[in-house]
Formats: sequence, structure tokens, C-alpha cells
Amino acid sequence: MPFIDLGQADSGWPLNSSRETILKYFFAWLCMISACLAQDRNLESFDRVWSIIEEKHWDLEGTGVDWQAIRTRYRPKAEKAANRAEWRRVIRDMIGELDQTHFGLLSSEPFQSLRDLESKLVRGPGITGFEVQIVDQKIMVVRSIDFSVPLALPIGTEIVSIRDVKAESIVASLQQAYGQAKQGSLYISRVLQSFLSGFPGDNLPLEIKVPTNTVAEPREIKLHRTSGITQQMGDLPPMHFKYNETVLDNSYGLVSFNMFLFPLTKLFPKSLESFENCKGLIIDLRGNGGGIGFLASNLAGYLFQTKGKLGTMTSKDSQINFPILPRPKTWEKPVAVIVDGGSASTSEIFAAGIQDLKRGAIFGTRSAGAALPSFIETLPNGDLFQYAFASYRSVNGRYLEGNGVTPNKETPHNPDHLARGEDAAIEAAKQWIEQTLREQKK
Amino acid sequence: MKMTCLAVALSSLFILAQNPEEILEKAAKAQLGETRAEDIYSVHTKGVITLPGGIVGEFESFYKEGSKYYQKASVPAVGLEIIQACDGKDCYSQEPMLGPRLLTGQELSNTLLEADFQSEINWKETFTSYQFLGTADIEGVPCYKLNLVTRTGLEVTNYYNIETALLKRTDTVVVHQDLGTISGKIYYDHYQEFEGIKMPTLIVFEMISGRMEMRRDMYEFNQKVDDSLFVIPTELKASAQ
Repeated sequence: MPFIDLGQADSGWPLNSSRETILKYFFAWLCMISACLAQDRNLESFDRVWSIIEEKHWDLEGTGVDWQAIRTRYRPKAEKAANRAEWRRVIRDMIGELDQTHFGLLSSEPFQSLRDLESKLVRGPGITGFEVQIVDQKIMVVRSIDFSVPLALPIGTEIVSIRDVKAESIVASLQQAYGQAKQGSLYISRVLQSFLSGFPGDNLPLEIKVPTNTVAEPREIKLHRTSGITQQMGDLPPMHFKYNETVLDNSYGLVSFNMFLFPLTKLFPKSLESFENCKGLIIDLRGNGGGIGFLASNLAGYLFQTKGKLGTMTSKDSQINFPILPRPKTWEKPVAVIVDGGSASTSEIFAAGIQDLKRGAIFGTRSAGAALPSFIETLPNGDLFQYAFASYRSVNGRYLEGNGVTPNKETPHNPDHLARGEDAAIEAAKQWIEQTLREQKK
Repeated sequence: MKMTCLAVALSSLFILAQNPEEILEKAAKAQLGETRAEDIYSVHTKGVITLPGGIVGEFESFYKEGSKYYQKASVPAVGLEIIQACDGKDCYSQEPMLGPRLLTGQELSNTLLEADFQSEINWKETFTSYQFLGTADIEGVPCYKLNLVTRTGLEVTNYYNIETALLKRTDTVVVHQDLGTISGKIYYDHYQEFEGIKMPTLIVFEMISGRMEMRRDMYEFNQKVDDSLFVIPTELKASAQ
């Protein structure tokens, strides 16, 4: 699961330069010192980035790049960098030599506006039960994520403000902060969703426009406790595993779950049994950020009739397969998988395997491209360095890190579908199941 | 100064002259003490496992002569249960990731070797080749480093504590038919004497970026263990056929 450390931001100078002249001199002197210190920190940060890649890269030799020579070439440039922008260019050029998507440098400044925003928005374990996404630069309700509670707002509702914070400023801050990140869509969807939380039992004040109304109106949404299975895994915060199962139009079995955790191993085969009379299966992995990697193999074992693998993870000293070992009873009808920018890690490993092995088709939007645990480390100069310590290739050899899984048919949320209360990806998946069955009959 | 250099040089020569067979023999003797290997016919151990993130579970293992083995690990917090067992000829594994399955090929032969709780003691039968690689510092402990190849073809690097002769660390690269190539380090620490036999009470596994700790609070030797514990489930045998 990606780890983000935003704890050490650059702080602004607290000195007001309009005071006494002596203070101005003092300020200038401080600036000179700060410039020297910044240069030191930049050099230290350069060394840190270089070392992380040296230590963590799973196959540095295989890139054909002489990493020692790279250091010799780029360190003097980093040392000479006159300002942060120049330093960042040096770092990005150095990382670019690897020609890989696993590493990225994030500027510290855009996170400041996000931090300001976060201070205004209460966040907590209480949830609304629906998912919001940015659609055409607007925050919109796109689907229910908890089938056990009635949908508080119709699909297609525009959220104009949250706790008096205008949606435009939220969208702008999120895009500014994460737009440059390799897995930006993942971070954006998670942080955005977290802004619609609070304490269970409290009311969340919103300003909304329902699909049938062009005028914004205030609305308070009751927050409730998340349903599902709560797992406290050691020192990690409690995790709420939510598993939804339903039959659409009496014909299509739909399962969605927010994480790959062990309860899945019992619930998924039960769902398959209850879908026995359905024409096909839809696995909705939107917003599913992953979990226990090998559970992708568990699910695949129920969907494939022959032995194989979903892909291979390569770290510095190991090559680990995600095997497919067919279960005694398997699902043989069509399988559609839905992903989006919030689908990460195990979700992507699973979806890519289904796609590569042509066991099913993928719908929705491109997944996060965060197949492996990646870390974001704050560098001594305050910038953030994102890196993965391993690489994952799907069974057909596709690198997922930074690239994600591109659906067979892109079906993003769009205002027209949402206005009709429809989910474009689900509709496309149903059509594909019908078409596949027709082709099988021929 | 000259004396110190001479001492270092002599000790290096001494280290270089180490015989791997001697190191293995000393390790076996250090572990067994006065006990004779042939007098041990079963081992029962249990304890606590800690997974990355501080997730805690428990495990219990039974070993019986003839490579009979049963181990059950459970982590109630996440609903995880893993069983692995051998009846002396066949082995099976039952866990949620890959489901219940009979082990085959290299995985079977390696598991059968692990099931033999005396494999380290009977090193002459376990290892087909041994090579002394020098010394190494493992967590501040000077160790002899040996490269060994098991009779199943598995290559391991073992580190033996120079002072106590006991095994300190094992490095392996396991080639698993389904899971691929997994390299790992296993640390053996906090040796304690149980019924006159020295056993590690802390075993740490390091693999990829993860770390798992296994604390063994209890060892019992030569307790009666019913063979029914090691029986391979009939449905697994049937599916394999």
C-alpha cells in the first residue's frame, strides 16, 4: 500500500522584511545562510535519491546504465544548481536515465494548499455510503459503496461544497498536489473520498445540485459507521473490509469489495455458488486499493480451468510468481472486471492477469499503476521522492508500475450516464457478457 | 604492534584452515549436548508468530521420526489458517492463497527434508557438499560461513557462531515450482536448553522487504504423537490421482 509522508514541508520565513533596517540586513544575512543551507540540503537530497535507487532497484545492471558514472556526472550539476527548480531538473534527468516509471520526484510546494484544505475538513471513521469522483472538473456522486444503507444522494448529484469549502478549490488543490505523481489518480480519489467523512452520527453539511435541479441547495448527510468486517491487523489502523454481492437484472452476478483480505476467500466462492443461474460475473474493483497480494491468486483459482500465473514480481533477489491453481469447481462463464484510478496493487495484478490470459475483459478507466508497495520519502530539502523497491510484470510481460491496466473498453463516468442514474462501466460489462455469450453460441 | 599483526595473521590462517565437516559436527554436538540423536523420536513445539505490521498469531508443530510432520499456524485477527503436513512420503499444504494441494517435485523433496527434524544433526546424510567460505559478522557475532548443498539439491549458506558452534543464520534461494525463486535469510537466536538439547527460541525470517518472527516458548521431546495427525486428506490424494 503506498505510504505518503507529508510531515516535513518547507516552512516559510516568519520574518517581516518591512521592519527596521537592521532587521532587513539580518534577514538578508539569514537568506545567505539559508541559500548555503539549501544547497547543502539539495546535495544531501541528491545523495539520498541516488542511494535509494542504488539500494532498492531490483535490476540496476539490467537497465544498462552505469549508476556510479551517473553519480559522477550529475552530482556536480546538483551542486551547482542555483535554485530548487534547477535542482529538480537535474534529479529528473538523472532518474530519466533509467527510463522507468517506478521513480518520481514531487515538489513540496503544491502540498501546502492541500494541507491548508485538510485543516478545514474534518475527517473520521463515519462515511456517507456513496463514492464521489471528479467528473468534468466537478465532484459528483458516482455509485453506492455500501449496499447495506440506502443511497443518501442520487447518482449524478454534484457536490458544490463540503463543510463550506467550495468544490472548485478542493479539485484544484488535489490536482495541483497529486497531478504530477505517477499514481496521482489513486491519491486524488482517496483523499477526495476522505473529505466526505467525519464522526458516525454527525451530519455532514454539503451544498449539492441533484441531477434534476440546476440550483444548488444545502443538504446535511448523516454519517454512519462503516459496515462489513473490521480487522485490526497488528499496529496498522483498523481496516474495514466491505464485500457487496448482488444480482443485476436477474442475469449478472456483481461482487465488489474494497480490499483483498482473508474473508474474501470464503465470501467469493459462496457468491459464485449463488450466481449459478447468472449469465456472467462482474467483479467491480473500483476504489479497491489492494491488500494481500496472493489473494489475487486465490480468486484466479476459481476462474481459470488451467494452471498458470497472473504475473511475476521481481525484487533485488527474488522472483515471485502469482500462480493460478484451479480449484476443483471453477466458474466457466464470462468474467468482466471493472477498475479505475483508485484500483491499485492486488486489484491491478488480478485485472492484468485476467486481461492477458483473455479470461475476461476489463472496463472502467486506467488503474492506478501502483502494483507494488511504493514509498514516498521526504528528502532533506523538503521535496518528496517516490520509489518502488520491486517491479511487477504481468504474464504477458507488461510493467504495471506507473502504467496501470488499461481497460479493453474505456468507460469513464460521464454526466449523461450519471444523470440517468446509470454506471457506464456496469452497462458496458453487461453488454459485453451478452455479446460474448452470443459469440460462444455461434 | 608486531605481535598483534602476527596474532591476526595466525588467527586468519587458523580460520582459513577450518574444516567444514568439523564445523558441522561441532554444531550438531553443541545442540545435542549429552543426548544421542537416535534417542530422539519426536519433537513438539509451539509458540507465537509476528508478521509484518505487528500482526500476531500462533503456531504448533509436531515432528516424528520417519519425516512425519504437522504444522498449523493461525492468525485469528485476519482469519488466516495454514496447515502443512507430511506422512513420511507425501506432503500437503492447506492455505487460503493457493488452496489445499499436494506438494510435488522440488517443493515436496525440500519439505520432506525439513520434516526430518534431525537433518541438521545428521549432516552427513543431509548435505552432499560442503565448502568453508571464511568468516562473517552476523549481527555482531563472529561466525563461520559454509556453503552447503542438500541431498535435494538446495544450496544454502549457513553461518555458525564461532564461540558456541550453534547455527546463527541460513541464507537460501528456494526455487518453488509455482511461486518462483524466493531468496531469504533465517536467523536463529536465543538458544535455550530443553531437556538437555539447545534449541533456538527466536527464529526470524527475512524475505523481500518483510520480516516474520517466530518465538518458540516450548519444546517437548519424545512425547507420544498419533500417526493420524500426519495423514494426507483423502480428497487431496484423490484429486492428485
